[in-house]
Formats: sequence, structure tokens, C-alpha cells
Amino acid sequence: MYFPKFYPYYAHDPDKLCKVGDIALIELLEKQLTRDITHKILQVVYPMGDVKDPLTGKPCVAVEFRDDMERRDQLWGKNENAFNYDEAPPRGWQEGRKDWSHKKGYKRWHDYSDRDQPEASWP
Amino acid sequence: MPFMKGPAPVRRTLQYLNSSRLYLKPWVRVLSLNYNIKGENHAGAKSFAFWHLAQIQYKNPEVQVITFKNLTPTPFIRAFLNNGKEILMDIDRQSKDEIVDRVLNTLCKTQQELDADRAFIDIQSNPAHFGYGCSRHCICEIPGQVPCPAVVPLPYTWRGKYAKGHAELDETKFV
Repeated sequence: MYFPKFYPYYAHDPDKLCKVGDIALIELLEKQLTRDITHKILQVVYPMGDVKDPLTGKPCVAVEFRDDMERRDQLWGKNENAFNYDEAPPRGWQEGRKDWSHKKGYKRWHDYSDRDQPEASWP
Repeated sequence: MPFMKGPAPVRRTLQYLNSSRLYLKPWVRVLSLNYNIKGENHAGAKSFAFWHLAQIQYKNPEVQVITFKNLTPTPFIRAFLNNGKEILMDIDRQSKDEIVDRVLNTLCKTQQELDADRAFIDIQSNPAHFGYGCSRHCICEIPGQVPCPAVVPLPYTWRGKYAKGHAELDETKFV
């Protein structure tokens, strides 16, 4: 029986291609960069929220294409509470305000009561 | 650990896992299968994953075999190769047998390559073989066999240059 194993790989990303939630292809480096960084990013295969079907190239959301969703909205009426893909801001608009994953992080070894640790990440 | 439980537990037997021919070529590093849980056009991909994905992983332990469910409306197989390229196979509305045939023809080793691999392994493991890759380099190492001619020269009659008359024998010089 095969069970999925999840291991935190630290990959070298100098061009900042990846954002949180993306599915990327990583390759083992010939020589380890640091104690933790063993791999490097080759490409982002499926960016989160912006998955493009590789066969057609069209943007899709889970089970349906976005074009089909628009056509359905035209026929049945649009839901105001639904997520608007055309007018949504690009990914990364919360960087610096709520998203600190772009900064060089460290593992949250200790929880301090008197100060925040926005750059710390959960191990 | 539950073994003969659940749907089709025969998939977990060694006999079933060993019976497949799905040995991937050495330049395939990652094999990803995208399919949805629901949908008629995904039924073939789903049964391929159910029956054959464990076999592929068993025969190719160094390859990453991963499934992505409910990501795109169409099912496909995406293989990432050594040279950075990828092979994309559309498996929309195809049955599991058709998918297996396609994967065999494109991504898997041919029967000739498998036979060559098996012959190489046989040569290595057979104690009757000597030479590169085998447990013993030469039959001269074994006591009772003809000793190494580099250490003890062979009799003249066994040496081709004397037996065939290419050189003349001078018994006064050699003992």
C-alpha cells in the first residue's frame, strides 16, 4: 500500500516565481546551497487559483472552465457573492500587509507574549 | 494493518504488483495523473489509477507518481522528463485498457530492453559466470583450475603461437 508522504523541501527561488499554495516542480541541486536548501524551482506547474488546463490553455476552476461559468452566469444570472475572477486583484496584493511569506522566514521556536513575529513560520 | 479488506484487495498482493509490464523509461522522473472523481470522461482515468498506479510505483520506486484530483475539467497524464521537457497525454473518454496501452507504448521500456536488463542481472547473479560485474573476475582464482597464465605460464602446446607454428620453440632457454 502506498501512502502519501509530505516533507518540507526548501527550494532555491531567486526569481520569486512561487506563491503560497502553488504546485511547483523542483529539482535536486548538484550541491546543497545551505543547511536546509537542497532543491531549486524549475517551474510553477499549477498556480493556486489560476490553474490553466494544459491541453486547451484555458483557465479553469476545479471541474469547469471559466468560459462555461461565464456562460452559465449569463443564462441564469450572476451571483453577487461569488468570486469575480476578472476584477480580482493579482496574487500577492497582501504582501507586506498580511502575507509575510515573501520575507526570509524562520521557524517559530518560541511564542512571545509581548511582541508579534510576522516573519516567523510554523514548522 | 488491514490487508484483504476494501474494494479489490488483490491490487495489494505481490503477485498482482509483480505481474505488470509498466517499467518506465529511465528518463521519466515524475508521472502525474490528473482526473476528477465524477464525470463519464474521467471514468477510464479513475479506473487506471485504481488498478495500475500502485503497479507503476512498485516497478519504479525512484519515480514520483502523483495524482491531482478535481483540478482541471479534462483528465490527462503529464510526465516530466530528465531534460526539462514534459509529455502530455489526453486521456479524455478513454478506457483504462487504452490508457495502459498508450503508457506502455510511449513511456515504458520495450520487451527487448527488459530482456536485456534481465540478461544482465542473470549474468551477474549466476555463479557460473566470470568477468566484469560478476562475483569473481576469472576462473584462475579458483583452486583446482588452471592457474593464471600471468603467474604460471601455460604449456607450449596450449599456447597458440607455438602450436600453430608462428614462433619456434627453443627449449634450451625456457625451463
